[in-house]
Amino acid sequence: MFVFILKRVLMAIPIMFVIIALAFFLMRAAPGGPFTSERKLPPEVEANIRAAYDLDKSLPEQFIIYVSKVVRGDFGPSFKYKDFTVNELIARGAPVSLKLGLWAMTLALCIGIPLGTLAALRQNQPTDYSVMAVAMVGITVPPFVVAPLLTLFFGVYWKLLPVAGWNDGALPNMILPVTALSLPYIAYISRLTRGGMIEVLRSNYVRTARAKGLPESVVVRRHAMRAGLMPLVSYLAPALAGIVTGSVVIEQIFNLPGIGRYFVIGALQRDYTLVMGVIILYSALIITLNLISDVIYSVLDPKVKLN
Amino acid sequence: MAIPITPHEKRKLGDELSEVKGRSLWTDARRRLFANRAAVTSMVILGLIILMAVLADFLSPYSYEEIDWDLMTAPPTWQGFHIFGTDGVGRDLFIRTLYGARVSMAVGVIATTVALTIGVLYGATAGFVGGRVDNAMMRFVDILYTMPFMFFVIVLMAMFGRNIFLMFFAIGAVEWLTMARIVRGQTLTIRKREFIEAAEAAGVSRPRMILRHVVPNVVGPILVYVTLTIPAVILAESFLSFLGLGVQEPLTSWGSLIAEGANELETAPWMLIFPAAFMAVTLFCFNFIGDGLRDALDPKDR
Repeated sequence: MFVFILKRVLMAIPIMFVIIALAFFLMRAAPGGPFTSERKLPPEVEANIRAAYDLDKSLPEQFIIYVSKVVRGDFGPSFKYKDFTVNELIARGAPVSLKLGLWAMTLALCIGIPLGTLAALRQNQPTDYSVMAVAMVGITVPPFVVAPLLTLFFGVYWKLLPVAGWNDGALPNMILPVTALSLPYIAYISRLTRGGMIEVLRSNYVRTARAKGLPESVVVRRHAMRAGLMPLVSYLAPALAGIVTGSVVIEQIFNLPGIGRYFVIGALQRDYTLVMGVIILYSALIITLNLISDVIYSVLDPKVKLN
Repeated sequence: MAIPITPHEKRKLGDELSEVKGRSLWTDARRRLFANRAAVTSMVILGLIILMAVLADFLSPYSYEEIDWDLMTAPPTWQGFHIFGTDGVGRDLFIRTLYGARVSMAVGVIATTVALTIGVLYGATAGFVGGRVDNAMMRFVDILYTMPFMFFVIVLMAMFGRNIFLMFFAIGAVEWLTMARIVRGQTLTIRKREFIEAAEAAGVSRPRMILRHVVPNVVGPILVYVTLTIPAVILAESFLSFLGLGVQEPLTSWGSLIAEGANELETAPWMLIFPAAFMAVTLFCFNFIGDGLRDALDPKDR
C-alpha cells in the first residue's frame, strides 16, 4: 500500500510538469498579451512593465523562471489584479470554492445514496420509476438553467433567500448555489447506487443473509451496501472534478468570490499567472482525489490489489 | 438410415427452414429497441426537433438576426407571429431557438465524430497490438484523465478567440478518452476469437485487420456510447457558451440563449424557458435512446 501511494505520488510529478508546460505554452501561443490594450502605452513604459514581469526574456527562459518559482510555492504576481500576488488571490478564493464544492458533494451523497438504495429495493415499482425520472431531469437540466430558476422563485418572487452574493458564507447565501451545483450529482449518484445495489441484492450472499433470518435493514446496510456502493467510490474523483468545474458557472451566476470566477476573468484578460495558478491548483486537487479514491477502493474491495 | 423424402416434402421442409431464418443480433436488437416505448417516443420527438431545426427558415417569417423595432422584449404573442416572444433587441426567439438547435446539434454531432474517430482507432490499436504498446497507450490515457480538461478548453476558447471549429476539436479531444477505454476493452475480448486467427493466417495486414475485422465487431457498445456522448457534448458546448466563450453573436446556440435568458429572467422569463426546454427535451431524448440501445444490444438482458 505504502509503495503504491509513493509510486503514484512520484508519477504525479511528471504529470504536473506536463500540465504546467502545456498550459504555459498554450497560453503564450495565443495572440495578444495582458498589456495589449486599446490605449497605446508609451514604448518605454511598456518595456518597463514587460521587464517587471519577465516578459522581455525568451519563452523558455520565462518557463524556467516560472517553474522554479512554482516549485517554491510562489505563483508570481497577478498581471491584472495589481497589488495582488496569485497566492493571495487563491487564498481568498479557494475557501469559497472549497466550501461550496464540499457542501455540494455532501448533499449529493446524503440524498443520492438513500434515493438510489430506495429505488433498488423497490425495483420496477412506482417509487423506482419516480426516483429515476427525477434523476433523469437532474442529469438533463444543467445547473445554469436550474440556478436562475431557483433565484427567480426563492429570491425574487418569494423573497426567501438572497439572490446572489457570498456574505462570508452565511447559510442563506449558501443554500441556492449548493443546491444548484449538487443536483446533477444527486442524479448520477442515485443512478449509480441503484445499479450497484440491484446487482448486489440479487447475489447469493445477500440471499444467504436473508435466509439466516437477518432483518432486512441489516441485510441492506451491512451486507448489500458495502458491495453495492463500490461503483460510487470510483466515481467520487470524477464527480468532485465535475463539481469543481461546475462551480465556475455557479460562482458566475451567484456572484461568489471563488477561484472559478477568478479563473474565467483571468482567462479572458490574459492574466497568465492567475490562470496558471488555478490550473495547477485544480490539477493537483484532481490527481490527489484520484489517488484517494483508488486507495479507498482497495480498502473496501479485498479483490483489488494495488501495485 | 436414409429416409426417403418426396419432392413435396422436400419443398415443405425448405419452407419451414426459411421460416425459422436465423435472426441476427441487429434484427433482434432493432425489435427490442422498437418495443421500448420511451426510446421510440424519444426518437420521434428528436426527429421532430431536428426537422424543425433544418426547416427553420420556412417555419418563421423572420431571420435569426432580424430586429423587430416595434416589439422588443415582447412576451409570446401572435402579433407579428412571435410565438416564443422576442429578445432584448427585438429578435424573434422562435427562429433563434431553432438556430440554436442547429448549432448545438452540429457541435454535438461533429465533436462526437471527432471523439469517435480518435477513440476508436486509438482504443482498437491498443487493444489489438497489446503488450507493452497497450500498456503505454493506456497509461497515457490515464494521465490525460487526470487533467482538468474543461479548464484547458476554457483557456483555449478565451485566448484563441471564439472559433467554432476550435470548439468542435477541443470538446472532441476531451471526449475520446472514455471511447478509447471502451473500445480497447472490447477489442481485447475479440482478439482471441477464431476469425481473427483465420484472418491472421490469411495474411491480412494489421491496419486492415483493425479496420475490417475488429472495429465492426465493437459497433454495439460504441453506438450506445455515442448516443450518450452527444448530449454530454451539447452540455459542454452550452456550458462554454453560457460563460460567453462559445458561439458568437449574432449566431447563437442553446447555451448562449440560456445565458441571455438568465440575465433577463425577471423581466422576460420566456427567454430562458423556451431554449432551456428545447435543450432539456433534446438531452432527455438522447439519454432515453442511449438507454434503450444499451438494453437492446446487451445480450445479458435477453
